[in-house]
Amino acid sequence: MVATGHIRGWYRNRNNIFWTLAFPIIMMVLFGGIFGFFQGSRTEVFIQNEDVTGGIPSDLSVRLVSLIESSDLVTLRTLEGADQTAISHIILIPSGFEEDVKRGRGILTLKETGSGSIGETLIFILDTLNIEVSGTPRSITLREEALDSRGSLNFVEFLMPGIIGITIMTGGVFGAIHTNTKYRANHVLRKLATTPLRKSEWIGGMMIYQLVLSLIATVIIISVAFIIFGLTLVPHVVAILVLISGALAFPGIGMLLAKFVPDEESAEATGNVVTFPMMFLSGTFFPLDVMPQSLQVVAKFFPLTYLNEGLRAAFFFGDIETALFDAAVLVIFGVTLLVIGSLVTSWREE
Amino acid sequence: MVIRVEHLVKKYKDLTAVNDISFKVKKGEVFAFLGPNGAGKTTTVEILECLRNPTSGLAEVLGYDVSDKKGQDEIKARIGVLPQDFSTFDLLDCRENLKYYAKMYGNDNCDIDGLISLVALDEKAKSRYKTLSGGLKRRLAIAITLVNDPEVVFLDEPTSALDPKARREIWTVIEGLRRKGKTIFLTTHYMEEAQALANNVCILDRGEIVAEGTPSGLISRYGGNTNLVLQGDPKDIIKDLPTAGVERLEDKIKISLKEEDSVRKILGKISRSGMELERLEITRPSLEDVFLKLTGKRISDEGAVH
Ligand SMILES: Nc1ncnc2c1ncn2[C@@H]1O[C@H](COP(=O)(O)OP(=O)(O)O)[C@@H](O)[C@H]1O
Ligand SMILES: [Mg+2]
Repeated sequence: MVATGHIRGWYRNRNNIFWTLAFPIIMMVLFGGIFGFFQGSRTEVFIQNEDVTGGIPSDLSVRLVSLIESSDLVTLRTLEGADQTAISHIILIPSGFEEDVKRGRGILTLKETGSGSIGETLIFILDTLNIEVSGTPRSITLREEALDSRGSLNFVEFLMPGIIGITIMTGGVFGAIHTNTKYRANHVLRKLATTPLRKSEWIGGMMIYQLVLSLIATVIIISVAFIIFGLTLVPHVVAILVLISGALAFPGIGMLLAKFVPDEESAEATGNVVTFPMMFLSGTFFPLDVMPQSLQVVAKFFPLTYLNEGLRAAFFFGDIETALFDAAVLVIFGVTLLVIGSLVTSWREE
Repeated sequence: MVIRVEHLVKKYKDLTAVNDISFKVKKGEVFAFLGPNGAGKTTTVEILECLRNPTSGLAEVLGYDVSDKKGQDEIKARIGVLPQDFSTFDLLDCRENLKYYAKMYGNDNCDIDGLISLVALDEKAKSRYKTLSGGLKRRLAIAITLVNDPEVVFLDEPTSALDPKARREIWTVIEGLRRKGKTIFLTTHYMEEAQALANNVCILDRGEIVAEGTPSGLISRYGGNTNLVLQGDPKDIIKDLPTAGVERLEDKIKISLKEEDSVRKILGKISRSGMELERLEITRPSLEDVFLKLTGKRISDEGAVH
């Protein structure tokens, strides 16, 4: 197997350990820390009050809101005009709520994304309200719903897949630049060309090598997100597919750069020119829709956009359809580049 | 016949790197391609290794045409190649490097330890490539060319840029390969190397073979005579010496000898003449003289002509 020797060489290189593991972790802790701080530490809860008649909210709904507010456990926001990307908890007070409660069967809906449920807190508040209104403990029940709309992630949740995305991207692009320029210069490729090994087998081996690195980096980044930010997630199995496609998507770029740029240093500089814009414009640190329309269009041409989106879909939203679409885009992009790359890179000297 | 080359030509755009060369390499011999940088050595070897396409002419290795796709697969499986200026994976140790290349041939039963002993790297088996000295690196590289137990081994400048001691150690390794029955195609710009190792030498200059034969054959044909250099007061002995090829250089006399046995006669004459001999030196011609005679040039240690 071509890959095993390279994996062994990889973990013996301190530089590699830094750039593929430590660097993403530092980025995540740094960005997650800074923005997480500004965002405030208390959970933000949005109230959607539909129990309104003639523009005036019902007494009961007003009482409920003030109870939640005074509990001091969460920060309340109104849904109107809120930044859609920051919503992770919505309490829906349905119309006719007060009437229903009077009849003994009021239903309150809590919509949440996966992390940090406020259900417990809310039930505690409802118990107080129940006794206050009717003396009977169960006239208001709580129904919990998964909130799976786009952009309902908190900052660390949003950031983490982006960090995995850029790690896979830089690993793929620079890994391919490195193998193609270094092994061309020290004539390893020429040596391999004299063995029965096929170029396709070598490229396949390199892909497996990239994939293993990507998976290791992913596991470590997820673990760090858990340890430092308490972020828990249960990725959908398609996440694996997205990761595989991601590992496949980027080496072709590096291979082509290495072909047209003669030495390792200038190839790496060109690699930076290519990866840097992608890093910032593909929804890694902030969502695409905060960017001007023109840049959003540009982002559509960046493979990293699809990797980030696919990872978020598979990690948090269980949105298989989006994840599969993104994986397909990545595979098509990656394989096309790899095929072109392997056609133009010759092991033979003419 | 292990290698057969006939009227081989290789052109790079308007540069003719190899210009109509023909030669044969026999089984079990060390065959040296001797020539300065740019002579066309690498071009020729890499054509034989199926790495470059010939422009015209015939090149056969182990009976297979290098231009034939099927032949190439067969050739690749049965040759071992050390590319010029090759270096391998820095962070893998000797054994791991050997295993890596053995896998390329699907050879899981490669006798790694045997190869390591063959190039005398036993003590360094667990050292990473990058920590080895230049000479040891080159020895590992030669071991790597042997992982598929090849019949023909191509060594493109295996000792360039090594110090003389390390170079001699490589020679010992190459000697060992010959004893194991491998056919060795060696390129070099070191005259002594070809002289020390090769059964047959092709002298290549600017893409053309200028002479071919055994080292001693080439020397006796083109190298000129053995010289006897005397230092001291020559008195009158010059008159008594064979007239052809006596040269006076300041305080020295250089006598160009025709036949080996005349050395004793000359020495006899010298001692009878009462000449005070301060120094006596016998210089035999080498391939260097052959090259000088044939091309009018010398090759520096770096391989440049001057
Ligand atoms: N790929 C190439 N393209 C163009 N010219 C080349 C190429 N390879 C070698 N040459 C030229 O061909 C000549 C012979 O080169 P080479 O075979 O490398 O000689 P040697 O190995 O004896 O030093 C040199 O003039 C060299 O510059
Ligand atoms: Mg050469």
